[in-house]
Amino acid sequence: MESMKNNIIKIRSFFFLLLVLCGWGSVQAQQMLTVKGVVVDALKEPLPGASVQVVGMSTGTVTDLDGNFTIQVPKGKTIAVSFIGYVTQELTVNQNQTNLTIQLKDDSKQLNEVVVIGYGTVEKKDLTGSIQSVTSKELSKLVTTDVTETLNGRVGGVLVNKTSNRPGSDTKIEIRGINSFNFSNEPLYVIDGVPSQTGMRHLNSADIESIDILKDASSSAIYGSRGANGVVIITTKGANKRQGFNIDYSGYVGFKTPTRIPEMIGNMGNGLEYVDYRTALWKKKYGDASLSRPDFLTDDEKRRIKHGEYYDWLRELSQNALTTSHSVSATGGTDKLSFSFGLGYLKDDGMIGDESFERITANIGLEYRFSDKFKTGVNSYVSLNNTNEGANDALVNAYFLPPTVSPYDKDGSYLFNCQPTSSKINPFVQIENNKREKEANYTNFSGYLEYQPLKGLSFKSQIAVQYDSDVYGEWVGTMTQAKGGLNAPEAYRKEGRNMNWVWDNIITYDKTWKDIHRLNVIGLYSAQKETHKGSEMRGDGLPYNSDWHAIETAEEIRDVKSYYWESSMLSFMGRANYTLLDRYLFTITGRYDGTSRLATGNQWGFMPSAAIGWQMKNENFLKDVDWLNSLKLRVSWGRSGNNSIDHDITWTKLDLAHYIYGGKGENAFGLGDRKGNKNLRWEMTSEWNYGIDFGFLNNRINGTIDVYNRTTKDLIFARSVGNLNGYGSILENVGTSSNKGIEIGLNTVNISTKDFTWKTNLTFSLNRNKIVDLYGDKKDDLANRWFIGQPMKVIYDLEKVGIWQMEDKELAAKYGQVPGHIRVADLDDNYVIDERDYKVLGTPSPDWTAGMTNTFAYKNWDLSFYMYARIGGIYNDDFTYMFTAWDNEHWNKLNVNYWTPENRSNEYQQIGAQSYHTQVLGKISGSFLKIQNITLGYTLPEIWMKKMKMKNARAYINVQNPFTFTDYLGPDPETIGEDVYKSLSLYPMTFTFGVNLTF
Amino acid sequence: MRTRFLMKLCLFGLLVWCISSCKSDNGDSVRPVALECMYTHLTDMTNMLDTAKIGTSDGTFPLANAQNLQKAVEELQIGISKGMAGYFVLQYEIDNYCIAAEKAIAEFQDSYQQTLQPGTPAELKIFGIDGKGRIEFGSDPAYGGGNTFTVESWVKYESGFFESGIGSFLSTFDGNQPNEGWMINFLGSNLRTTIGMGPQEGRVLEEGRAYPDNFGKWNHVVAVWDNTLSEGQLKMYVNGELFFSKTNDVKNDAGVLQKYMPNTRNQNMWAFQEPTDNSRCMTGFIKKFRMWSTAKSADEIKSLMNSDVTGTESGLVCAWDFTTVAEDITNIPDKTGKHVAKIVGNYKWFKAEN
Repeated sequence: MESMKNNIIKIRSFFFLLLVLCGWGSVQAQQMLTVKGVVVDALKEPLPGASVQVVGMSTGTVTDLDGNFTIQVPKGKTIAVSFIGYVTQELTVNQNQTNLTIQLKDDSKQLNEVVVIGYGTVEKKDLTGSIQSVTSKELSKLVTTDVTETLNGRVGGVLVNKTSNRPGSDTKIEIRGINSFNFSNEPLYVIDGVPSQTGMRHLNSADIESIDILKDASSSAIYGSRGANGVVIITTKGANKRQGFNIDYSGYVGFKTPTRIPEMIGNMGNGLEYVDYRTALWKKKYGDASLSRPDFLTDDEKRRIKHGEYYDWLRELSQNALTTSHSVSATGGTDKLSFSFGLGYLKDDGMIGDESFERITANIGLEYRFSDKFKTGVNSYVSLNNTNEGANDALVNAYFLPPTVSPYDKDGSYLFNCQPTSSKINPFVQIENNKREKEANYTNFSGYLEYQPLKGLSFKSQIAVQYDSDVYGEWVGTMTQAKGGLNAPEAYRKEGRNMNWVWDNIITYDKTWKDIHRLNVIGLYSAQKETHKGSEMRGDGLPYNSDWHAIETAEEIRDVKSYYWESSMLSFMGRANYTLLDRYLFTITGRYDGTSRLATGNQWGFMPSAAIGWQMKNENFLKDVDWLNSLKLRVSWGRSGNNSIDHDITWTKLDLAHYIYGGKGENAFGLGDRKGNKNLRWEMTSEWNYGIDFGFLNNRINGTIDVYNRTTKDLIFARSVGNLNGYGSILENVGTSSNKGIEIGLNTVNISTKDFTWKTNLTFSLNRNKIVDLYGDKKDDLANRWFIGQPMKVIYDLEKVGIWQMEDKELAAKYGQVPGHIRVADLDDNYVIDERDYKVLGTPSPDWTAGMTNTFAYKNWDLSFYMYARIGGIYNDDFTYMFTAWDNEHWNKLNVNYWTPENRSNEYQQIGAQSYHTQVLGKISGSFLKIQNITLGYTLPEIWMKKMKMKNARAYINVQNPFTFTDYLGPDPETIGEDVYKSLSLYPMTFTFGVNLTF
Repeated sequence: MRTRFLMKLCLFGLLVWCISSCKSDNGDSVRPVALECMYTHLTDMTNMLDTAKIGTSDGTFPLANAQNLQKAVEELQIGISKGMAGYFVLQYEIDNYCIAAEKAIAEFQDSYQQTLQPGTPAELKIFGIDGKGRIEFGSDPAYGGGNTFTVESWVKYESGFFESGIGSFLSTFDGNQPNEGWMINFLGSNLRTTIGMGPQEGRVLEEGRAYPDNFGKWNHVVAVWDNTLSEGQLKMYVNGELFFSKTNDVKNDAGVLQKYMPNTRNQNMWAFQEPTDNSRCMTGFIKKFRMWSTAKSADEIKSLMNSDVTGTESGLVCAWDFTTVAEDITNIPDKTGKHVAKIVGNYKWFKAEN
């Protein structure tokens, strides 16, 4: 106010002076100038709602819908043109202007270098923890149905595990390894402020403003007892409002085709190879005379062989499929009101049968600013997901069935038993008679009120509710593998509903003193309650094909269950970020959580963290080092817990049992196997993180290196106890695990000319997981394959050293083996292969992972390709085991290098030799390198866009999974370990055409 | 211009990649077949029929066997006709005729009559292949075994001694569910012991190693089940040496360890053919056979291998010596005096070699 008064006095004095010097008439003409013009953005598109203000005066206006403005300005005065997200531009006015064009530049610094840290944001330069972000800009260039997958290789320390390539399949995230044996290792997801465990699959990537991954404990400690596995904060576009008005459309249509179809014997029309294989198998396994058995080859098979009619089951059963996505959003606002609205539709069809995933999303965000002090707003996100999980058994049967049998009878109709000599039924019939469907919806709603009594001080109260529900149904018809064409159908139905209420009250104080001290303090009081309920039932012997409905018509209804449980949490949290001289950064956080999941006395816990940063570049001794643009050292420590424990973990429960009493069954309750323990505490993780952020050569090379050492104590284990009291075990906090690792992120601008740029982003992660202690006695647990000093998950088995060769015949005989059998290591050299020859072969986790994106831009063209590698790790893969080890006389197997007396393979045993220790064939390396994504895009020239009244228009073609380099025999090395009967999938290569348009 | 060039380059690269990713079909659809073995065997068989003395006395071949060989000749001739007419697509179809011819020749030669008097030291060969012969030891709950048992016998075999799947040597196994009983058997390259586990259906404990390929030589084969041990409950010994040791790791769907299920249904014990699944059979010689209700140790087995039994030993369930020509093949008493065995189907006593 004081400055305004001064300004008025100054203006009046100025006018008075002019009056005196120049005379009234002429003064009036020269004093006030008229400025008319238009404000445009970088693409020369009009910016409605931009502020045009005379500097130092209260005079101002805003641009209209076409970006036009008119303002009266005293001669010589400066006008400031500003708009959120753009750099403010100032212009001194010395004459009337009627055709002025003011082009505002994007404020990329303002938009990009802010990191969400939980209950607030911080500029990246002031960050002290290890947090990595994926922005909407990056997401918009990726084609994905499940946004979770985009983190793989793009965020250091994050490992995304796919369960299957069927549409809508689950993905699991591990951040910096695993900590817990018996409870979830999934991170906490915070979607628009609501903590949950729902994951991200239901979110449309086009609706996401940013994904921020809090990796170290000092960052995740802000979520206290839920932060031990890391935190993924998702901010949707509805939660961020901008002025102006935009309509965005992004959409694509993709064509999926199976790639890396495993090579089964005799596929692609080479049926005689299969006949040779079967002949060798039968001769070796059953003797030469067995070939005269009528089931060696049926008359139908012989006829097909004679006419060269071979059926390639995998290629015939699989199909090309479409994937499509369309998203429309509108954002806009005035100085009082901001809004955003979005709709999205995605359909992803599978390559086998009716597999599909369909998602409809809608979001709305509103914010109304009553004054400079008060504002309120709501955000809502709704996602409806329908998943057809496809049939059990169908794909695996296509692997089993040999090329000598056909799915059709003489009339061209589907056969049920297409191979009468085998138990495997026609997969086409299986698909028609087995359904597995899931309908799920997810809703997030939050409303808030924010009050700013003083500059820098604000109170915010937000109530959020998250509701999700799902219904899963399964129908197994008579003509299926499970029912064998004889038994009546079976139906199963399961449903669940989860409600999650969160009330957050946040006080924030933000103050800067003379550019020397910068302080941001936040306090939180939060209350949360979640409820979970559901039921399920199964019906056997349905009288007609009613899908998974009308279960009441079943002959027998069983597995009827229902549940309800609730859990609540109260939290107090405080955090202070202090920056001194833009050089020294300090962060202190403390969270005090109370949970209903633990018993009185252990319900409350305090989880602190502290971090310091040193902006070395801002020190005098580095200020003048031109080649160095930034250099920051970070050290942090934090402690956080794992609240993903069962809600009844401390209870001693009675188990329901079914007793036969007096000739009839009675329900009764008896002592459970496990005794509750009221003394249980959270599994607690503490972590040191050391980081360095750097930028060289005008930031053409910049990056981050983080080294961490994480220890999780008080791991909860079931300790076996004597059965004296009727209990077999009791849970106790006894174990300790650790994770150590390094993460490197590097961004380079390799070439930058006027027309051409080449940029590279690289991430590298390495994690070493270890069991420090199990039961407090530093002893191994052989039964569970847990070994002190080894990773928490290990493959413990015999070690394959090759195949017994002819020259080793005598030595092989000492082991009861013959040439052609699998040779394993005899660790104790006693000529007996037994449990004492087992060893830890490795862990089902990569030694290291790396991702690299190369982006080339030439004028309006852009080309990028993304490579992702996982190196190391030993996995147990049922698919590889079944289709290399099994020697069933009627089924097919993988076409690999099997041993024969002439072909001294050291890889796979002789066909039909009945080798022992075949389980070692399923222990395989998980290494691979994928060129996962190649995108070629073209952005329309500005002149064209202007003609079409558009702000942005980009079209692209994209191919996903074009090249995969791996020794894995199955389709996709990322899905090693699939459940072969329920989720076995093919590996899609997808060609996509898409557009991103902004109006 | 440059843009167009880049586009063309990309398209060309895509084309090259597409072409290179298409795998050519290099499979052959027709294979030549050779009929030579059929001609050879036909010549041999007709020569045999032309030269063999047919009769009922020693030094002759029985008329029935000559007629069987004649039938085999006719089958082979049909095969040759089919072959000449191009009926066969794959060599194995011709091989099947040749294998059948070889079997017919062997059977004919084995039928050469040479009478041995009862009590003459001899070796017993049972022609079990195709279910043509076996030894039945009767039914007894004790054959099922319990917590512990030992099965001990001498066996001799020639190349091709079993075909078409599992060759059962000694067995009480019943594959109706749940699996019950035990079986010493051959499959592929292996000599194995299989025991039925339960109560869940479809469970067996099965282990083996490559069988001795010393064709024509006797092998001492022992299977031991000892459920009192915490590991290595199932063991086999061959010629006095540990063949394998296997810990019971058979569990039901709920992860509960399963137990051995003795044969409680038919309680039969047979040699050279499985009592329930008759297709599991083999041809070979048997010398001595004992079953014990106890689990014999490695040292005891070595001792038993080189000793005999009187029939009164503690824990001895049954004991037969097939070392002399039996008085009555339908009533061969065991040494305990509790059981009798009978030979069913094709068999032959061969004069014992020293």
